[in-house]
Amino acid sequence: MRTALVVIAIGIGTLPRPAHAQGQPAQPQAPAAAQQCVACHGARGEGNPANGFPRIAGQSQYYIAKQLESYAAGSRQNPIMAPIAKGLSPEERDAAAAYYAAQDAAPPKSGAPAPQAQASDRGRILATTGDNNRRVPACINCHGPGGIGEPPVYPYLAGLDAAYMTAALNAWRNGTRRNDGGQQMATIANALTPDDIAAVAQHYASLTPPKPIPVTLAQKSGPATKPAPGNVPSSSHAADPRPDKSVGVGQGAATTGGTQGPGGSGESKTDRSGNAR
Amino acid sequence: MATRRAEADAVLLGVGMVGAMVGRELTRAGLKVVGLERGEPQFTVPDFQGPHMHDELRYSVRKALMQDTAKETFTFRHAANETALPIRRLASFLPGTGLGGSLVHWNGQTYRFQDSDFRLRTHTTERYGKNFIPADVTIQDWGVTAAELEPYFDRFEYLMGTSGKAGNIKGRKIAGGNPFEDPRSREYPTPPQKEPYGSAMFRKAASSLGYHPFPQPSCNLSQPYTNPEGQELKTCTFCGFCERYGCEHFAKSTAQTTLLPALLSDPNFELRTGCQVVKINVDNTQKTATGVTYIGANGEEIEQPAKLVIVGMFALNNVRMLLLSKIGQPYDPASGSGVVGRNYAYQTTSSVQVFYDESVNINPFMRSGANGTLIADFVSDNFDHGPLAFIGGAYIGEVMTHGRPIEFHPTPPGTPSWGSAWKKAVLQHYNHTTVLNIHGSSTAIRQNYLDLDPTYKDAWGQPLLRMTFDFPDNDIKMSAYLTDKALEIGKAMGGQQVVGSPRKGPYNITQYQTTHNTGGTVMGTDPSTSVVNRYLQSWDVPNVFVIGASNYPQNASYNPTGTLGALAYWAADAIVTKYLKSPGPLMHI
Amino acid sequence: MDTISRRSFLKAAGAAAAGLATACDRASRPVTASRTQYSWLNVDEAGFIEPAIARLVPADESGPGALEANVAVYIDLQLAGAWGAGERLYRSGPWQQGKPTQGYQLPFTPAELFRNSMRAITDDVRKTNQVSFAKLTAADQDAYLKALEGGGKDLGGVPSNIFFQSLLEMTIEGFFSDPAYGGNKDMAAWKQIGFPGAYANYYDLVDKHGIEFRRPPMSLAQDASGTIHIHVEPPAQSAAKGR
Repeated sequence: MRTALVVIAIGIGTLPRPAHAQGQPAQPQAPAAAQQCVACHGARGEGNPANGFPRIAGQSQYYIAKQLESYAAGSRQNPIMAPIAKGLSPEERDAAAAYYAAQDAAPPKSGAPAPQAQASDRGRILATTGDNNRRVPACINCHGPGGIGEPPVYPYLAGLDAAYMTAALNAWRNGTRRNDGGQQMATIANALTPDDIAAVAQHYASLTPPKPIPVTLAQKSGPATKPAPGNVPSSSHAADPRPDKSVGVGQGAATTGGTQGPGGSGESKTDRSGNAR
Repeated sequence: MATRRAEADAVLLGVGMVGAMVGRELTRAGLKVVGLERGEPQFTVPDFQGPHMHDELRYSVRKALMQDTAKETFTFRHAANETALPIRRLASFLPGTGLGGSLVHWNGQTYRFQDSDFRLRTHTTERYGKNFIPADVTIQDWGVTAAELEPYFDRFEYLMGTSGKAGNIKGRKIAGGNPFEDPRSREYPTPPQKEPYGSAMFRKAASSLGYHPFPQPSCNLSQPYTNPEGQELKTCTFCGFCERYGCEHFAKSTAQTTLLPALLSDPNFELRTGCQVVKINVDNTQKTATGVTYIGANGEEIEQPAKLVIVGMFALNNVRMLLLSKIGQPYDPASGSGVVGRNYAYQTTSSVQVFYDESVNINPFMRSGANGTLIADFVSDNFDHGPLAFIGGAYIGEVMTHGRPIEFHPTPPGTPSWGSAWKKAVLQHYNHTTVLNIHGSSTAIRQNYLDLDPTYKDAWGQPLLRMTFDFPDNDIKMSAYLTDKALEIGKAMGGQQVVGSPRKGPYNITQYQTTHNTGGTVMGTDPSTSVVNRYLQSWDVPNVFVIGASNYPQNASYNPTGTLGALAYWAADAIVTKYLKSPGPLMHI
Repeated sequence: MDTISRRSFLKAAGAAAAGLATACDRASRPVTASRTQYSWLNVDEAGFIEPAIARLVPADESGPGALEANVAVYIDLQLAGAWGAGERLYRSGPWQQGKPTQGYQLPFTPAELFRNSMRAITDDVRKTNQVSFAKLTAADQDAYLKALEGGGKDLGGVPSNIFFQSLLEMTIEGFFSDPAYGGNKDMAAWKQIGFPGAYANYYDLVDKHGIEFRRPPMSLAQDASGTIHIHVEPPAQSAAKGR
């Protein structure tokens, strides 16, 4: 089974990082599959907010590939992206996604407001606390502290331009983006007012995007798939032929679901009659 | 001298799930209702939000959402010849506190007890004969049937949005659901949650042995759902922080997510928090409650008169409140007379650990509180007890709820509890182990009961509740038999090592088992063996209704909350459609 | 709440040596007087706690143990705070010993229990061995800890098995809890077992059965830059009540 592992490395830390800090950085070489992306999203995925093209540098490979798949399938709609995504094979989408996932592009210089300057309290509160009456949980639950994302599934929001964020939230809201199996984003976006959307977009636009975060996501065979509930994808586990070695641990306490000693630790083996906590 | 407030039509003792449900029904019927909650108000936003909510030390270990034992706890002994000592920190069971009560921190496992559970003594006698039940076993019928409760189960599940798969709709068996369930009127409101890896391996193994696996009914929702109260719940994200935590995503069905916004905006309802009710006041006829006395958040003693008193606290606290208020005759185990505190029961849980090699990634942290797979083949009386000589059963399932590492770091038997070998074993097995749960019934016996402690007091100077409990021989036998059955399934799951741990006595108050404490204010149709009638109305003081797992004459195989939800709606319906039209006893003997 | 960065808080933590020395190496180079600035532990206590937790959860080829993960800092902060003072502990008498299955029945707060026990241990080790616990060999340290675990010693009113179990539980808690509480430095324990931490949502992944998933863990106390802010006064009450 181990030999069948196909590792999808996301933002692999060992890839050479572009030295953009000083002067003109060397132009990274995008793979063939990503050539079409460069014109709009930039060689490093820095995006072109002025023309409505979002930053994608350092988003996870899983996330970028999933968006391409969604554009191709129509669960995310965009007249420019749809034909491009349809023209790429799944392998090409993965290659392009892997490339951009590894890019550590400079944060946006102009266009974005100075941190905190234009971000309203409402945007910050929605991002970090949520709204009980509207049933909006805080964005940070899934999108990480300061909007750095929770890779591989949940994208970073920090430093995305406000117009893109607004458009994305509106797409969730009006149902043209439906690539969220649990509909978490659809229900949240539906609960937000246009002013809320503007405020939260402004808030995240004011933050600094994160550097790529390395994630390993490996399925036993091929890229991640979604088996139907009830299906066991592997049949490699035969019954254990060895004799029963089982002996009791503790007095029947499960080691999950909350077993604990008096102080709350997870040990179930030892009697802790006198614990002070 | 207590400050006296204006009389309410009804007063709720506790605004947890039961309080919210009954409060909603009563205000809708036009009653002015005052809800008294000992804890603090708490809401999904801001109180349960991440990342602070995902703090294992604070919530699982330090138990921040639970009853504060510095102020109020219980005493415990195994038998009447021991001295009961205070439970100085909660461990074995965890009653919550604060608005929303224990459902704030529940796992969301939502079952219906079976008809044979509700008619346990009659059913057992019919099937196995009169002599099958030992003399000291005090199991009894509930006074209701599954068919009577079905509409209320249905209503509760549709309030909660429960995610599951029906196995029997109006007598028609449905593939994929629980084939042993009693007929239900319709499908669950939402489909089952996604099945994790360990559960899928359990499903395959259980099927191969001829059992009937089905998805665990869950109140962590599989998809967005708007309930009949207009409350919208969202989809669970499998964060692995359910039990002992509030849900940040509005995805767990609780009072906060299903009812409170509607209830709190109703002008007929008034919520008061920080209110410690010290007793229910009864007039000099001893037949009518006049209201309650409580200590407010600032220490002031307040009298709240009310025409109707709803006791809807945690089961153990319901029992204590009746004893403190001298409503009903306390149980005396020596003579077997009296009812309040009688038939205290628990849950007989055990486990089987399946240790895989390092090629099998269980990812135990990708879970919800109720997204497992289980079999009901050994629940209740779904199998022949004749040759086994015990009563009761258990469900067996791979129903892991989390991979939080302080609580979950399994090691195989023989591993030292510290040092290099311990650390090596923890690292080796953390992500490659799954656990089966054997969740068993608890029979009531004459010796297990609840009363007031003669020595220890709470912060308000009132006696603590004293628990006298040990596992009945019957339940030890049941656990041994069914843990072996689970072990067979575990072996068929193909682990490297499979370890069963049946429940054995003595009961250990220092180990978490479940928060499924039942009995003490038992329901029934005979006032000599029950505290409340089949409508959960006090036999002694008819304007007092007591609603909780304290009503259970004994505990069944399944987790108790689904049945409690049905009973709460059942009682509320009786109050609104029967009692309010003609206040007085709803049953006459 | 005041927060200070982990770095500035612990920069003097000389005892928390970098690197992955084996357990034997570590014990043969005994930890001497700590230079960590503790809130509550005195020099003698630190001189016991640091080597003791290094034996309970040792560093090995997989990564840091309890000492390197700053579990001593966790224990220090817990005992210094509300928890050490007995928060949420029912403390009314009469005090009497029952069966072990009836739970803790001593009159000591956690801080009192640790202080009494460690004073007795310091005296006991000096009297018996003429050196401090830290100067014992690893084997002798283990033997002493095992003796405590086995019970029978009276540590200033605390049965030694009760102290040992408290110490072991605190050590495991500090190792695996969020680094917000001072232990699990750099999330070393989480990295070693593969627990992804406080930021947790797996809707897309839960049914990708058997997937190998590795992501740098995330702490509830980290900011966008990844700096973890230690809770100097760890709250035991719920978040709402701390606000």
